[in-house]
Amino acid sequence: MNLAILPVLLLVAFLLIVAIGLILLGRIFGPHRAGAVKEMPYESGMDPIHDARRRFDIRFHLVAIAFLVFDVELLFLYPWAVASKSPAGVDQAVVSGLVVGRELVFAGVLFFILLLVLGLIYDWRKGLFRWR
Amino acid sequence: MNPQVDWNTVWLLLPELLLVLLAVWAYVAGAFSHYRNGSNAILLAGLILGGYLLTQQNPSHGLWDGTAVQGNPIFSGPLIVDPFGHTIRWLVLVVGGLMLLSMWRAGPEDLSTEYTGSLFLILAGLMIVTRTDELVLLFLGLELVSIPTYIMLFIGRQRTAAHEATTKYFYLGILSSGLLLYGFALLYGATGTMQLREMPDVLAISGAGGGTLIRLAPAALVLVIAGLGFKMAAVPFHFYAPDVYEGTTAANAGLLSVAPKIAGLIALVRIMLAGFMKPDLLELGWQMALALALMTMTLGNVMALLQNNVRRMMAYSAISHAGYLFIGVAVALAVASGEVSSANVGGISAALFYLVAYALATLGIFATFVYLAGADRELDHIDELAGLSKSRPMIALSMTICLLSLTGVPPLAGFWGKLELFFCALCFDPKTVDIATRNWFGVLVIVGAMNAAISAGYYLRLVGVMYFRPAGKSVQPTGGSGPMIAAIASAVLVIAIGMMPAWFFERTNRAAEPWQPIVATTISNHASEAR
Repeated sequence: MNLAILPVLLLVAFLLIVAIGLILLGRIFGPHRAGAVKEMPYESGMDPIHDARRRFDIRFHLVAIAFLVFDVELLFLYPWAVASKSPAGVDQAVVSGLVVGRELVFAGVLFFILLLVLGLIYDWRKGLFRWR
Repeated sequence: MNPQVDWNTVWLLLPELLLVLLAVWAYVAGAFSHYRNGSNAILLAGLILGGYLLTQQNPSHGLWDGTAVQGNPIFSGPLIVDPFGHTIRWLVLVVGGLMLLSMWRAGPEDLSTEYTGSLFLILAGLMIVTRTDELVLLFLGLELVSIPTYIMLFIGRQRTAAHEATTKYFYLGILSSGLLLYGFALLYGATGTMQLREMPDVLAISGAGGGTLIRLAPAALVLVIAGLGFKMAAVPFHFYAPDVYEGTTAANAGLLSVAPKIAGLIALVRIMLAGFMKPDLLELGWQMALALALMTMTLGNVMALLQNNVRRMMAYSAISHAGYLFIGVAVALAVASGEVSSANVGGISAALFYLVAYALATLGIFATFVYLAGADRELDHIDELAGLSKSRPMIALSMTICLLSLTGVPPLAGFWGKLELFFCALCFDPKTVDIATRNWFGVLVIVGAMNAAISAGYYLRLVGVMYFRPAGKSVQPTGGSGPMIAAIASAVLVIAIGMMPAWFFERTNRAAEPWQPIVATTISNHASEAR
C-alpha cells in the first residue's frame, strides 16, 4: 500500500464523516417544520430556478468587482509565497538561470501589490464601499 | 531554455512601465480631482518622456548596457529586442500623442481621466505586443489593448446606440480572443514551447520524425489568423466594424481604426515569421493572406461607396486598408516559405510603411470629425461637411490632404505606401517563381490598383462636399483646439512622409531586415532620385 496518499484518503474520510454526521445530527435533534420555503435547496438565498434575466441590485455587482481585486491578489500572492519558501521554487529558478535573483521576484511582487493598493484607493475614492 | 529575466529586462520595459504608471496615476488622481487640462498636459509630457526613453534604447545604437543589435536580435526574458519592435514603438508614441490631443475633451467630465488612462494602457499594450517573443506575454499585450478599449467605448458616449456598439464589440472581441487563445494553445501543443523563436526548430524536427501533434499546427495557424483578422477587421471577420464605428464617438472610432490594426499586424508578423516558420505552413499562410487581401480590399471599398454616415464610411475604409496590409503579409510569407525568392522589396517593410501612412491619415480625419462635432453632438451625415472650405479653410485643407493620402495620390504618404506594396508583390525573381503563384500575385496587384481607383470614389466625394457644396446649416466646431492641432499635425506628417519617403523607407527596411534577404533599396533609390 502506498502510504503517500494516506493523508488524502484520511481527509476524504473525515469530510464524509463530518458531512453525513452533520446532516444526521440535524435530522435527529432538529425541529421539523416543513414548508415550501424550508424545502428549497438554498433556504435564504435566491430562488434557484428562475428567468436568467431577473434583476438584482447593481451593488452586488460592485461588490463582486471589489472582491475580484482581492481574489486576484490572492491568486498571485499564494503561489509566490509557496514558491519563495520551497527550495524547488524561486531558488531553483535562480539556479537554473530563469531569473537573475530573488530580489527581482520580490520587486515584481511589491510592484504588483502597489498597483493593487492604488486600485483600492481608487475604489475607495469612487465610493465603492459606501453602501447607500 | 528561456533566457534569463534580469534587471536589464526591467530597464528595457521602462517606457511601458512609464505608460502604465501614468495610466494608474490618471485613474487615481481622477478620483480626487476632475481637472482635465492638467491631467492631459501631464500625460502628454509623459509621452514626451517616453520618447526620450526610447532614444536611450535604440537597438542599433546601443542599449543601456552598451550592447547594440547587429543582425541577430537579442533576448531578455520574454522580450525580443530588435529594430522592428523599436520602430513600431515610435509609431505607437506618435499615434498616442495624436489620439490624446484629439481626445482632449472626450468623455463625460467626471470620467475624463478614466478615459485617457485607458488610452495609455492601450498604448502600453501595443508596445508590449511589438517586442514580445513569448505567447503568454503576447496574449497579455493583446488583451491590454482590448480590455481598456471596451471601457473607452463605454464611457465615450452615454447613449443607447453607443452601448449597443460597446456590447457588440465586447462580445465579438472576447470571441476573437478565444479563437486566438485556442490557436496559441494548439501551437503550444504542437511545439511544446512558449518561445516563438524556438518553434521553427521543433517544427522542423517533428516534421521529419513524424510527430503526431505537429498536425495541430495548420489548425493553430487558421485560428491565429482568424483571431488577429478580427482585430484588423479583415473581411470574414469585419461585421462588427460599421455598426460599432457608427454607434460610438469619432474619437473612439479613430482609436478603433488604428490601435487594434497595429496590434493585429505586428502580432501576425511576429507569430507567422517566427512561430510558423515551416515551408508548408507558410505556404498555407500566404494563400490565406492573399485570399483575405483580395476579399477585404474589394468588399471594404465597394461597401464604402454606399455609405452616407461618415463614421460608417470610414469603417469600411478601415476594412479596405486592412486588405492592403495583407498584401505585404502575403508577400512576406511567400518569400519566407521559399517558394519565391529575391523579392526586390520586402513585404513586411512595405506593410509597415503603409501602416504608418494609414494610421496618420486616418487619425487626421477622425480628429477633424471630433473637432467639428464637439462634446455632446456627433457629425453624422456627409452633407454636414458642406461648405467647410469657406467656414474653416485650414481644417478642410488638412482633411483633404489626409483623404488624398488614403486614396494614394502621388506626392503624399499613401501613394508611396501603395506603390511599395504593389512593387513587392510584382518583383519576384522569374526564375524561381512558378507561373501560378506569380499570376496570383499579379491578380492581387491588379485588384489592389482597381481598388485604389474605387476608393477615390468615396474619398473624393467627401472632398467634393467640403469644397463645392454650398453650406446648409453651418457646422459649429466645438471640439476645441486639441483635435484641431491633431488634425493639422497629421496632415503635416502625411506631407512630410510624402516629401521624403526615402528616410522612412530606410527605417522600415531596417526594421524588416531579419525577414528580407536582400535589403530593399530599389524604391528608396527611385524616391531619392525623384526628389
